Amino acid sequence: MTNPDPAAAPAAAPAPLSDAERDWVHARVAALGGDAGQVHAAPLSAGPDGRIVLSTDAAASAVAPRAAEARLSTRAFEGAAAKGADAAVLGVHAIRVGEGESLVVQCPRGSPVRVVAGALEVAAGGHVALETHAELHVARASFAEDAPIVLVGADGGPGGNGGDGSDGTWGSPDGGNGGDGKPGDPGQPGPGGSFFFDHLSGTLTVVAGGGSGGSGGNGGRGGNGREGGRTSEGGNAGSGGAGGAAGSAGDGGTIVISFRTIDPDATIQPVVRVPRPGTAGRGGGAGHPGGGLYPGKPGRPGADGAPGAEGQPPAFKIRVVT
Amino acid sequence: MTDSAPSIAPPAPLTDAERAWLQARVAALPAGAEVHPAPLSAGVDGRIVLSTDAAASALAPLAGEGGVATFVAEQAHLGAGEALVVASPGREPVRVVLGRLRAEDGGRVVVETPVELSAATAALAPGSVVELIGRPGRGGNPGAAGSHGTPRRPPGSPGGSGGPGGRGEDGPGGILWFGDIRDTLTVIAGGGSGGDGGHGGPGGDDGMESGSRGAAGGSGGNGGDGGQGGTVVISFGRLAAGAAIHPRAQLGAGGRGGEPGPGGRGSERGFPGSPGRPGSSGELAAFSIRHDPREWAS
Repeated sequence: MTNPDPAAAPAAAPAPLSDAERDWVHARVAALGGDAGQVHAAPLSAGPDGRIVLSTDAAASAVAPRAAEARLSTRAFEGAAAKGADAAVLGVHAIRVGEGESLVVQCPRGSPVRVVAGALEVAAGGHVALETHAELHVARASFAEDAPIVLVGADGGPGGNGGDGSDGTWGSPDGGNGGDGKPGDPGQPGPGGSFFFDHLSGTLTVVAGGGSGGSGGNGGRGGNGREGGRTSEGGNAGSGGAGGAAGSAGDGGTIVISFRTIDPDATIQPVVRVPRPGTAGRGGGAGHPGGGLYPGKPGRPGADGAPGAEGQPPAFKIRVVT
Repeated sequence: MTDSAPSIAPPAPLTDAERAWLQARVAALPAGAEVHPAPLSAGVDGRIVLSTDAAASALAPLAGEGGVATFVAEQAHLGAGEALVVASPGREPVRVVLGRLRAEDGGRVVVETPVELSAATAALAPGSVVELIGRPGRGGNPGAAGSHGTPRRPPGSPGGSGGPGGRGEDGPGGILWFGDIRDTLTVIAGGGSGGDGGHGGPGGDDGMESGSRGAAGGSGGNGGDGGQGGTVVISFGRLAAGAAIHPRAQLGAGGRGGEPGPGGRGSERGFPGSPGRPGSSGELAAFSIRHDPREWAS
């Protein structure tokens, strides 16, 4: 996933950090509660899978968050704590994301993560995917066009369909009711994040939004009543199951983009990803009553599922810090 | 629309830098063009209107580069609840050039036509907004009710279909250039919402005491599509410490489909019409925020 070996770093690695930038990284890591002595010195670049993963899961991460992981484990048992105060801190000198590559920031527990880098360069066709609430602190950030930071919540999964009701039989002439469809999962909210760039250049495109809701499962069909004879009554039809409710779309989250200095001609492009609520499950059809001299009663079709709610769009805030 | 009596505290005179920048812009206009010297402030209706329609405008437009109507004033000040409205009946592009634009909490700049709005200084309190939003589409007309049958002339006639909702207007989009942004620039852009479809008309009653089914209800009209959001470019020479830009894209939502008209009465109720389809939402506005210090420095 990552090649931390400096000897294997690509020729397009970011320019070496200046002393001031190096000091900036160490000071920022320390200010955020991390260990400045653990800042990863070699430039990070993607491995054969095209990914650089920064995670609180040491087994998955290009930079092992040893101290942070210990804190996270402890705090996971403690439960609630301030979101920012809980964040793991991952410090690196330089990150280069090439064409078709990605920098992925994640935390299996969903806790916030703070990444501090001296230099971050994202080439055209590369992207940064923030899968958990993250803070990016970068001394020198450069983004090509078509090199976005993406903060989009995961889409909700679909609900399962309800089973069909059983048809009536000799000993049990009534059809069974169809099962209700399961509701679709809601789309996850966008993780949101905060970016602090000491100097920003290029075209910073930030794509944010909630995940789309999953579709509700369809209700099962009602079972048919058994046919009656000249003397026996027809079986009653089963009713259709209700459709599952559609999953609601996730909210977009809040994205704060801060910089101290910015290149002339640098551009910031906030892009809203519009999530959609899922499709409501359709109610199952009613079964047919058993015929005969004394026909059974008809079943009722199931009700369609409730529609999902729209998500709130993300809020972008762009500001200068001193 | 405009009044010489300001509703808020009199503004401070322009700084030398603001005045120099403004004069440089005026120099590019045809000879004889002058800057409106008095601060623009809202009248009793709470509005300052800058329009290519001279009868409605606080300032007469100047012919700028490319023949674009251009309005130039030293300052515009918006108090709470007041609005600077930039309009053009034909939706032609216009330019607005100000030495300083100041808005208090609750003040609004309402852009109704494609615009290039530039100001040396924009001092915009949190809670003030610059809006570039299309107008909503009109609601569809309801369908006519079917006529009732009579014993001599059964049956009733079906209800009329509801009219379609109008399409939401596209967001005007524009270029906002500010030399120095102070406080919080909030820009809301988007297409107008589509109009709702009209309700279907009710079907006429059969009119026979032991007649047949009532007439069918009319179909609901389709909802209008939402307007496209447009493109908004925000350029700034300097973002003051603590200042912020809040771009907000507002979705031009599709209109709701009209309700179906109910069937008329008879020995059996007539069939209802079919509901109208909802309109499609428009694309969100695209924002591009640029640092462009050169014009401010020139």
